[in-house]
Amino acid sequence: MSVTASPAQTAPRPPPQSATIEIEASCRLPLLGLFGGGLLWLFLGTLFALIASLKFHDPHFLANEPYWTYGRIHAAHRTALLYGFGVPAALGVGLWLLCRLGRAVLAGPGVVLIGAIFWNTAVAIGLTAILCGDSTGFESFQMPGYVSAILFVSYLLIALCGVLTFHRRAEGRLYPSQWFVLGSFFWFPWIFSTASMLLLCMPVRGVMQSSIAWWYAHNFSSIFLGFAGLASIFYFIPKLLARPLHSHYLAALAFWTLALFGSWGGIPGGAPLPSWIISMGVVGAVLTAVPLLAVAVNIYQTVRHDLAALDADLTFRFTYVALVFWLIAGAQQIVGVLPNVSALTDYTWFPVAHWELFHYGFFALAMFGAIYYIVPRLLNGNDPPAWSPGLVNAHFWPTFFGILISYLALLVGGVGQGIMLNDLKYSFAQVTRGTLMTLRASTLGDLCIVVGTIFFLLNFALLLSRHCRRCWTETRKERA
Amino acid sequence: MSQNDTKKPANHDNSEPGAGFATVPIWLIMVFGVLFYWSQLYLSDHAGGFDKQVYAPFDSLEQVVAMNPKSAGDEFRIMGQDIFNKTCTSCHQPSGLGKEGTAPPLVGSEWVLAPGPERIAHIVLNGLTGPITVKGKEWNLTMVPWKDNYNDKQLAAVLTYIRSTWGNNATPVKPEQVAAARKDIHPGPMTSPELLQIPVQ
Amino acid sequence: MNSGPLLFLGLFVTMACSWLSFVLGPQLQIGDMRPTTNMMVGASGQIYPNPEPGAARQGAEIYRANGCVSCHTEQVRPPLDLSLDEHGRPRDLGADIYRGWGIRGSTGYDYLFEQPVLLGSQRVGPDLANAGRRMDAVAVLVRLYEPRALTPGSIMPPHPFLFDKHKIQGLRSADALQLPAPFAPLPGYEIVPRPEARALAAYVTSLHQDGYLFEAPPPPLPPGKTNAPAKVPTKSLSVNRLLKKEPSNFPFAAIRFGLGSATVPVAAVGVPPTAFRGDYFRPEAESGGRYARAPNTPAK
Repeated sequence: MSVTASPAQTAPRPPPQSATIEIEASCRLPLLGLFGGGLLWLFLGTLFALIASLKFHDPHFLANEPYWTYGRIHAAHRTALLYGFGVPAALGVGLWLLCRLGRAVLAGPGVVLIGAIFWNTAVAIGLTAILCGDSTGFESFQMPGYVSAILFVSYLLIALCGVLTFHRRAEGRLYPSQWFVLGSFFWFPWIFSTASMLLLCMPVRGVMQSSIAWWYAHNFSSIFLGFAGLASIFYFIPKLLARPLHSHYLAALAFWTLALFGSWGGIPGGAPLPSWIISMGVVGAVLTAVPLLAVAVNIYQTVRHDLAALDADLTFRFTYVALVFWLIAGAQQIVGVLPNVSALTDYTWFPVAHWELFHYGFFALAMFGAIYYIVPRLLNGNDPPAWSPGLVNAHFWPTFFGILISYLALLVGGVGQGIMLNDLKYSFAQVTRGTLMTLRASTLGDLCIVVGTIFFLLNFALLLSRHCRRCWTETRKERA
Repeated sequence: MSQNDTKKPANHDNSEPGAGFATVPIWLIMVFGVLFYWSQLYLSDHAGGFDKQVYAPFDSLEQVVAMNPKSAGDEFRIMGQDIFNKTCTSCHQPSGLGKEGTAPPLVGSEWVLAPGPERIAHIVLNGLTGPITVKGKEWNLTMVPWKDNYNDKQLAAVLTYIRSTWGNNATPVKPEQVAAARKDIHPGPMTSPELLQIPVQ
Repeated sequence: MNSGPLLFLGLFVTMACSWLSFVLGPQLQIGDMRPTTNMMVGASGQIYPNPEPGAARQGAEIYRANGCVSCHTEQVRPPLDLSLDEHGRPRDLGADIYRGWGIRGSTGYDYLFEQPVLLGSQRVGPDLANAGRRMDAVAVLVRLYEPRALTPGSIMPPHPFLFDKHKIQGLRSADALQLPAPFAPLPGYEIVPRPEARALAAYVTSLHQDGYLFEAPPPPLPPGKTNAPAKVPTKSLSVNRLLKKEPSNFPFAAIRFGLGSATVPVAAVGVPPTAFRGDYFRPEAESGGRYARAPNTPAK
């Protein structure tokens, strides 16, 4: 559908809109590469989390070799989850959204595939380095400096293709998901390059390192991963309900306030930094109440008349549960940042509960919802293969319960640990003993999440094999 | 997933979602306003004037300055308290009241409150042994010397501290006075008769 | 909002705000921090901090490589606020200081010579900011080899790969670990720390943050009044403020109420009921407290 230009205008003609089939075909290989690799790292990351969790109950488990000591396994778990799964999933879903919403084919699919291969290679090297003792010591940024360059270049290869796709869009009007995707694509290079330069290449002096490391971790989670997840939620909920999003303006308010205030934060209350830095973090976190409310109102008004339809699609569950978890995690962050509360809960399991809920409960589930929708259509746009419904359920329920058990145990246990730490009649050993129940529940949660992930991988493999078999039989039929 | 099935969501593969244009509810703007106002109050209260020397829990540079020892004398006394707490409290007790069989009291002791610090300077430098009368009571214990552990300024700080705490109100001790006492080389600990021969100014 | 360039501009501005607040701003302020004068400990005018070259620096690398930072913090938190009582002394010094983990809150100066700065964000294990004042090298080594030798029920992982186990050749090695019976090696064998373990012990025992600074001054000394040390409260006031009725402002009152009502389930879940068996829960008194400190080293 092309727009005819009037003779008086010299405006350039917008490019013709690509058919959905072409879009899916252009995205097929790169996104399968991103998602496939991401899922493998997800499995490894959740497995590492389970192993680390088991070590609390039997410290001698896998303790004889340095490669599996708790500190290294924990760093490896976080890295695999954030960089092995998180970034590729965010990029893959983001690229797909840019293509679909812009109605343009993916620009440079081969470049994206190369970027994905390099990224996965870098993550593999980085994880091996961590297990061999080369971790940096900065939470959420553990891969050593020599991997950073490869990561940065491969990210740029992928993200620039996305920006180019956006530039070539045929649909002039922007939908909120596109803002979120572009926001996240733009944020990562800035924070990653800052962290790499100022922490690894030319390290800054003293506690500045901690300030930057906390800022990086917070921005990576809240903005980069948060925007990617929100983009997916803002797209799929209206789309699968066949209703428009309630308010463009509320979405804009949420986007800009989240970008502005959500990026201030991450510094714990008792940090050895001048008070103003900590106070800015507190202020930023409290002001994220505004985007939280804006998103909640927007989505609620969108789904209000159609609540029954939320359960119609098996995979749709992932998306709206992810939204609910995002809201809960956001509320917990606001409460946890207030000085009186943070004096109690800093350095306990309370912030870990938030990490789990945000990364597993919100981001991973939002990505799963998107992947469940996107992958069949990548494989065959005309007649998408179906996921096995039993395996989808086997993925959802253990994951959901695992996250819930883990989160509640760590939340309550964290508060309890904080109370006991502040009460001087408990020695530290007694405080530790008091958290053992919490750790048991959290291990159970980790086990459920691993089980769910295995079923997801099985389902993915089954889908691919079904598709490949069908393709093969059709090709043979054509030749015959 | 047929298009005619009204129970299941239709296959919307070719249509993309759009956004409606409902207005932002006014209460949300008000919440934003209230939170923004609160945040400004919070920053003015807790950001320490954006000063790099203000760490938690201080709220302003004035508070930091107020909490710091106000004069060289205060700082000196705090150094003395620090050393006293680490070194002397095990025998003389944190209250300065001493303990039977361990150490005589420093509170109200005529030795501590003498006009000049020469005698007590000799005691802390060289130690003390043998009978000594403190506040009308006789003590016969041994104190170890500290001349090899602390320098003149540190010993002067401790002496100043014990002379100005617990109600004691004697003049501060200068490092030069301790240095002068140190010059008076005395092998082994002091005894009471030797001390009484030292003049106090 | 349909224009790509405007969108990018907006994103750039918001990103820049965050970057200015947390990266450039602090860097301009504290980026060139230099050692300052320590107020009183030791000789006057002593510079703080002093870099610790040699084994302590190598130990920092071992600390980083083994991810010790994922369970231990190295920062002492100051009290929540500085309200003074009628004697002019602070009502609350903060739980970290009462636990003996430090004498003052940590400041930026304490980390000037650390590379990387291993502040930590989780206290699965105790804080180590002043570990050098609490532990000697032997205690650290025993704890690294087998933490349960010193703390029954500890969840700290053992690090046997930092040690060598070999047959005793003639006399025992001078630095062989003295371990209590359940953890000692078979007769005829000894556990000797490797250089990595010794470096790590040197690092941990070099950690100290003492000496008051201008930014972290000592609690005030009221002149002439009695200087008996203040009675240490059993609970840090931050907890009291949350759990009991103490004057505080909205919205803290609401949070306090919420958390107060959460203490009942917390106590039920968090504090271990004695119904659980297993040596995890043997109280320290029962184990005789023999292993609270490092066993005596043999005289050299």
